[in-house]
Amino acid sequence: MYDIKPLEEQWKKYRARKRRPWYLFLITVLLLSIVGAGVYEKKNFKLPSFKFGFLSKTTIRKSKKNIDIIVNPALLTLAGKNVVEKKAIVNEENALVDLPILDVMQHTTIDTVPKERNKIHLDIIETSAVTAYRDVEKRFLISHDVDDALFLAKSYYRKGNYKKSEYWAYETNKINENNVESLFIFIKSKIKLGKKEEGSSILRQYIKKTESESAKTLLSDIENNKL
Amino acid sequence: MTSRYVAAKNVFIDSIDIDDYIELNSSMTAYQQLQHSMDKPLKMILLFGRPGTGKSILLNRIHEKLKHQKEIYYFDTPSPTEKEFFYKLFKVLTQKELPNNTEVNFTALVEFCKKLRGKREIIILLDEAQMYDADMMEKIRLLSDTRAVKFVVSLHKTEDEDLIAKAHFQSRIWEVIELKNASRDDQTAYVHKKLLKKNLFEIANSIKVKDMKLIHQVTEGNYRECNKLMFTIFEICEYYDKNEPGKLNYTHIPKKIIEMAALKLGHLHV
Repeated sequence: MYDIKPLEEQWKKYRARKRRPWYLFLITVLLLSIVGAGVYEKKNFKLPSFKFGFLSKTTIRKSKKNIDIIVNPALLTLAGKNVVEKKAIVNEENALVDLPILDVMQHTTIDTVPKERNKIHLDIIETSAVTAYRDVEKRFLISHDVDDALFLAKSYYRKGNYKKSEYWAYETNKINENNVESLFIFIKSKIKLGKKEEGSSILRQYIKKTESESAKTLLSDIENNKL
Repeated sequence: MTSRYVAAKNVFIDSIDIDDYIELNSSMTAYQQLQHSMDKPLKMILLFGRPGTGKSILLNRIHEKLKHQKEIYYFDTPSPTEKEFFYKLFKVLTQKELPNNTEVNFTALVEFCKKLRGKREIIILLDEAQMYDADMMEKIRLLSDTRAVKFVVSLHKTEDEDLIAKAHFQSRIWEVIELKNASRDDQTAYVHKKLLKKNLFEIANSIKVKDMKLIHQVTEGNYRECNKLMFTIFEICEYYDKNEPGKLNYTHIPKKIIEMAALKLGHLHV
């Protein structure tokens, strides 16, 4: 009969040695994943974005379900006063989202996963036709195209409809946090609507984060009432 | 109570007993090839292969099968001296005992064989022929040249022995039959048939395909190594069965036990 215990010990050593390459492989994979994640993070480092809204755009855009957006006019007044501090809790099933006034919509159901669409550029340089803006707004509700939102923000600002330019600048920022132009239109609209302190506060926070020269120039213009 | 593994272990005791012969596709082919070669007017047939490929058991089987049909003799172990070898040969050829205090006269033996040509056809199966020296092999060749005696020479296949074979038989070997290690399928059939032959159905069923994959990998399909490994596996099983039955799975031989046996036999190393 074998002295089985030494043989068992020998087998344990053998098994440990046999598994060693797997452990090494797993450790290597783990390390590579960590390094890879680090590199990916670094590569995806963007210019500091500035989200001046208080809604999580991903909550709406990435959801696979249709979300009912209920416009709550009561909240709209509050939204203007304390934009930065406010945080919205968005429930995926029943998102209570406070948005600025949108003429045409009081209760709208949107498809939260925008379908890939062939983008048709409407190069509207200048128009006075109200229907043209309505068409772009409707299209935006389906496409969530940043160009459409920015176009509307700029157009309404030029036309002096600052309430709407503020709203569309805000919409643009929700889609692309890095869009500086939308931020500036948003701030300028606030100033034009008499919310100088609020606009300046947002701009200062942005400058603090980015040290942007153009933002500093804009702040100087605001402070010197040159807007 | 005797462990069921004792019987299984004993199945794999290495032997060339004809009762232990397992008919496999490859061994059947070799058998038929050898039988066919022996029917040809050849002087010498070389049967070679690595140790444990079944040369001895094949010679033994062919001897058992044909001994009543042909004048066939099996020299299983080489004689330690030339004198003893020719004494054995004298007895086979003359069917008489060598008188006391006499030695075989080789020239006279060759002449005797020449006279047998056409009258008798003697086949001598020489196992482990690598043990014979060059002089002896030369004399065997001279005897085969008489065409009265046909030799089937079994040799181990190693690099050196191949050279010996070449030197001895370069122009004299008329047919070469090589035995190779078993394929996985053949080895699986070998293990199962061996166990089933002894009615060990449950144990045969407990050896699964993946176990045979490991066994084949470890033994490289060598029958002798397979026998040793299986013997050791069942010996370990027997120990656990008697002392620590909790460590044993009766429906399946644990991989651990196969690896332990391979470690014990030096097929695996820590």
